Amino acid sequence: MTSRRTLLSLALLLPAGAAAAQTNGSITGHVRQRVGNQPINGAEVGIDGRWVAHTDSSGFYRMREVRSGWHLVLVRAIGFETMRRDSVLVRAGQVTVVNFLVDVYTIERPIVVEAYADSILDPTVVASVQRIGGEELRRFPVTTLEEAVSLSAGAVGESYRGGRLGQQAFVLDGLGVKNQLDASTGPLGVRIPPDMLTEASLATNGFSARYGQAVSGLINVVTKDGGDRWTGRAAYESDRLLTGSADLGQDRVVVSVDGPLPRGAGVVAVLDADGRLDADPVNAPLSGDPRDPRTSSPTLLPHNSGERYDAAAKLRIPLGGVHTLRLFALRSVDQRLLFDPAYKYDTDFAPARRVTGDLFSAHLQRATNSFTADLRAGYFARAFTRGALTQQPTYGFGAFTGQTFHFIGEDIARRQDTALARAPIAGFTAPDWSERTPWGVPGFFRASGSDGAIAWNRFREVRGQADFSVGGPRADFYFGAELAKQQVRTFQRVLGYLQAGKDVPPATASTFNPTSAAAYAEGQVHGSDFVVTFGLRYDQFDPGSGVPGSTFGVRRSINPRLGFSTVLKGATFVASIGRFTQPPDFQYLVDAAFDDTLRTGRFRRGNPNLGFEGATQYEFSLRTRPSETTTLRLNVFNKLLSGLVASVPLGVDPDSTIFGNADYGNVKGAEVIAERPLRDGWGVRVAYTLQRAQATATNAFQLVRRIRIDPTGDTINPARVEFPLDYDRRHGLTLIGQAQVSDSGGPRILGIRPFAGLEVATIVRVSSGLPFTMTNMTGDTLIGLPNSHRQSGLMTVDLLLRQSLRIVGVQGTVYVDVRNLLNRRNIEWVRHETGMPQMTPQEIQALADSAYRAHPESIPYESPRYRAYADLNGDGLIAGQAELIPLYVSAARDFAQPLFSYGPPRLLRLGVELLF
Amino acid sequence: MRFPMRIALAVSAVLVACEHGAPFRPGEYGPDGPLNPGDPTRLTYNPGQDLIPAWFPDGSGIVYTGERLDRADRDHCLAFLPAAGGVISHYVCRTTAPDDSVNVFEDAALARDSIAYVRASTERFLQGIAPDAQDLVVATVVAPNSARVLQRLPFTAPWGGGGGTTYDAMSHLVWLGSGRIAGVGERVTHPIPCRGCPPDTIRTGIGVVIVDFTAATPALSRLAVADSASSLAADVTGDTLYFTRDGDSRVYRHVFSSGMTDTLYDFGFGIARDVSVANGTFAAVVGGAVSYAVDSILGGSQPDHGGPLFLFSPGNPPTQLGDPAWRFRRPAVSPDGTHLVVSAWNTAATADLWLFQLP
Repeated sequence: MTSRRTLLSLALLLPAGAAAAQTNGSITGHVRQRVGNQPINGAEVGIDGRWVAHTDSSGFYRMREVRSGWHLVLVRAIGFETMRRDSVLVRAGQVTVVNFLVDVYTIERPIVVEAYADSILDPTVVASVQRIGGEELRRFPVTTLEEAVSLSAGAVGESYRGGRLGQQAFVLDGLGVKNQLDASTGPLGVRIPPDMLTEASLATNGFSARYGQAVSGLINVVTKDGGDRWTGRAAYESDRLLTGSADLGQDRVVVSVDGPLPRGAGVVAVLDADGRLDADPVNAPLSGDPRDPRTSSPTLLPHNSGERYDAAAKLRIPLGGVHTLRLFALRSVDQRLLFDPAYKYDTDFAPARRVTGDLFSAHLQRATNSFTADLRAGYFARAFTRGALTQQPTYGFGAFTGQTFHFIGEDIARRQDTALARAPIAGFTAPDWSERTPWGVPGFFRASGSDGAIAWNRFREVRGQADFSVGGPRADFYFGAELAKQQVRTFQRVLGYLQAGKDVPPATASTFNPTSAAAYAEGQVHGSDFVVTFGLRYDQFDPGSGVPGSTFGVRRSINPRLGFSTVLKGATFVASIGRFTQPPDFQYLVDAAFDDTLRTGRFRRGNPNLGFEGATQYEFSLRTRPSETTTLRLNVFNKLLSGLVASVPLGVDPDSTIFGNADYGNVKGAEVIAERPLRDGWGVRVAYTLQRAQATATNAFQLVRRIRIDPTGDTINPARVEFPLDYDRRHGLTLIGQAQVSDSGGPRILGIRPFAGLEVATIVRVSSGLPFTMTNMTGDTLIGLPNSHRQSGLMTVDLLLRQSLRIVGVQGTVYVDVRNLLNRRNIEWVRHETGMPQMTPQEIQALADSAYRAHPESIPYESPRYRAYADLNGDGLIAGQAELIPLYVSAARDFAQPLFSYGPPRLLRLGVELLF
Repeated sequence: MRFPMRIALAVSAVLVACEHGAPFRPGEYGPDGPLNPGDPTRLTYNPGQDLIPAWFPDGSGIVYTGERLDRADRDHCLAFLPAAGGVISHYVCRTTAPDDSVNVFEDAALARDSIAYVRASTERFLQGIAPDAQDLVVATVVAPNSARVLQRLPFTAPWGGGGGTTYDAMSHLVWLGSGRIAGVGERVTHPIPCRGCPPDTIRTGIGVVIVDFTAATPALSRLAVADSASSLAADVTGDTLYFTRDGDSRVYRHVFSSGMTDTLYDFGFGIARDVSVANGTFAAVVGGAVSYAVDSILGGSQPDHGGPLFLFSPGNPPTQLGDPAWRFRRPAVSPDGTHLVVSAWNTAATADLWLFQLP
């Protein structure tokens, strides 16, 4: 006890973090004789046909660095039959316990084998990991990996524990993959098809020192290795059979194959294609005006379709002995037409977006039970283009076009030709006011040309990574290093139909080649009832010489991590502390061009001397099993954020800002996760998060606003101002329920059991609203502090019904996937001046008046703008306020519809799946 | 594997047979046809000027120059209107130009798939008296803005006496076949009628210029017999030209194939101009608010603010068309000779287009 108290005290006092978001787990256990429970010393233990460990004198064995997935475990000893246990599930970062009780000369007597994994009570599991298996992904009403991870406690979409978008790291089969260019505003670029997954997990506390570039969470993905027999899956899901508002134009096709190749190799290949005629459907109310075309056809927004293609393949090649080579390739293409209310009636000029991602990796592994070496090399490229299309695509099947989007000015952007881009860019035409609206008046709605913007960027990274692991029965030591050479190319031009000049900012471009490097060491000492994990990580990044302006050169960061865990009366207690740093998004290092609707182009200055964003997190975790079938986890954490990138004023020009590591924050919270795995036909998981994420700003503007005069007349200058962070969702509850009717269950109807084998999974999410900043009606004065007001809460219910079918020897399923089953109208964004999604009637009137003042001219009969219903006196001229203002009011109301303030409506898909 | 494939194909066939719904699209909100059908029919109600109409070769539509009061720079754009009236299908303007210049597209002449017109632009806030830039251009009907410049204006031609003849502007464009157009070359003066008055702009025809652009470099020539031409029309083949002269009440005819020039018609009163012909039907504006004077230095000058509209045919007395109190300019007879569209000033200060059914 003394030693336990000492270590516990040590854990509380020392800085640090803890283990394990990785691709591998371990298998431990005892081999004993059935009679007398005597340990068998020197028995050989193997995995998947390879003998890797021996039992010690207590019969204990441990196989380290076993890849996540299903394995065959073997035991043999002189005088005993070789014994095998199929289907042992190993999960990344967890220990699977497999005990063997054997009899001497067991030919006539049964062998008793126990196999179970218990990450709850295992003190070697230090990380707060919430995982979802590849098979569960199929059973739950989720489509993508991101959706699956967002089911975790503490997650708000892709924000984890109050972190900003992009503050998480993505680790694929042990290799870090990150969009370091614009992760805070853009997608990763590659998506792992769920069919490739063995498992995915989210680690939110002091994760292993081998991983960096994250301050909010770590998404760890382990992909399948090719199996030892050929299997495959083909699935198609759609809402084509539905009518009316239920048909949202969805189609998804998945084909995957998995099997062995000669010489022990294996292959997995997946194609996942998803097309949606409305890729961002909204549950917004109708305008109420019968002339609005959306009133009669409310379901799909035009020019809002999307198509995604994800193709991945993985090859596992045994090189003989203990060496294995794994090659992985992934290509993702995401093309979106983007609905823009300004182009509601002339969609040809609305913007579009194309994001492509490529990932290639090679992993050479040397694995013995005492020493494992992983050498990884990866190439990651992400390209982003946004602008107006040269030609609108034609749909082939559903929303699939099969065509590559091409953008006006794309060639200039790729060449980063800022000199040529000073002139008007060929292909752009100046926008004019639309004549195709029901209101006719020249205002709000655009036509004839796009906004003239073209944005392109490309991020490439070549990463080399070496990870080593040395271990024995009671201790492990990990060390390694990584080096990433990155390449950043950006280009932006706005108002491209005009010559760059006084009111039109010039094109901006940047070319620089940052370098990131890291090294780490981590050890884990196993006591009889405690485990101490300690690690140290060194990170550095250098923006490179290509960044405009002078730079300070290399930035460095030391990040200690420590975890201590022990077992206390049927529960496992873990204390961890870790410091994490990540380089800022590289987009903040360079200048950018902006525009607004008033053609007052703006120029934002980058800061090449930004440093690391950082976080130091303390967490106490308690894990227990209230009953044999249930688990309970309680996490309490406190995360201190520092050096957050923020836009700060530069000089006296209110429109001029520069980015700096200016802000600080603090996220405190508690998470409760109770789970009953699917057993006896049902299972449930409840995750509740209580969290408070506060920012501490040194924003000069805020400080000035907060100056107070004390009773004696002295001025009080506040040292800081605190307000909620953008993702400060105070309460979040996620309930996942599963039920399964047995193959012989359910009522018999007309001789058959229609519900036999039926699977049901539901996800209920209830959460409180996110904060928002209130302003006055003109928007130039804050009311209260930033983020001091709250949106209303959200709730969704998702459901998946899956029924297995077997038709003439063919195994398959049909399923119904329903999102937002209750069709609840969730408000996800509100106007800062009203706190509601919509404008007030007064604001609408002000908009209309302003537009009328800009164009008070009358509209003659022959004009495409003429609307007979507005010509009150029938003189062939819509003239004067009496006739024109109602049109402007209707147009303003139409334009100001808060479509994207609302979440998606009920989405329903029917799916057919064949397994072969 | 054969059964799964069959099932998959069957299911796919069923699903593919069902089509997704389509997103909403804007409707047709404008009127169909004229506001008050009749004879004559008022085609435009624009408070700005609607001038210089011309017919599509097949008679299906009209193109004219409309003043855009909905644009801050009040550009004059080509407007395409159905033959019977209704809604303008589209405008042709220099929309890529910023609002700080006034752009004028005028004198459109349509061939089968081509359009010739004159475009001019003037800096909006520092307006000079004359346009800053002026071009005679030709383009396809589908992309009128992607035009080939045939001749920059003004230009000085080598013919005539002294240092040649300077043409400040061109109007009354007609097609003489593929790759050839003709127009009235004009001298533009800006007299100031009184102390403190703004300068007026007076365009006076000084001859017919022919532009042959079949080669890479357009070739200019003049029709020598048409000196002082004030208006111009051509038959459908382009072999016969009809023209009027400054201060003259006659309409002349010139046949290219024979080289013969004669007087087609003499009104015997007033100054004839704005001649139009199609399918044997002739129209012209005669008399009215027009005058002709010869300055000893500047030469002839014919300020024209419109006048009565007449139909005529050789050997017959002219027939006046429309309200005698109105002033008309630039009539255009439809290709089949059954209709006539013309700019007219009634009580308003600006011209609108009117459509007449011809007997």
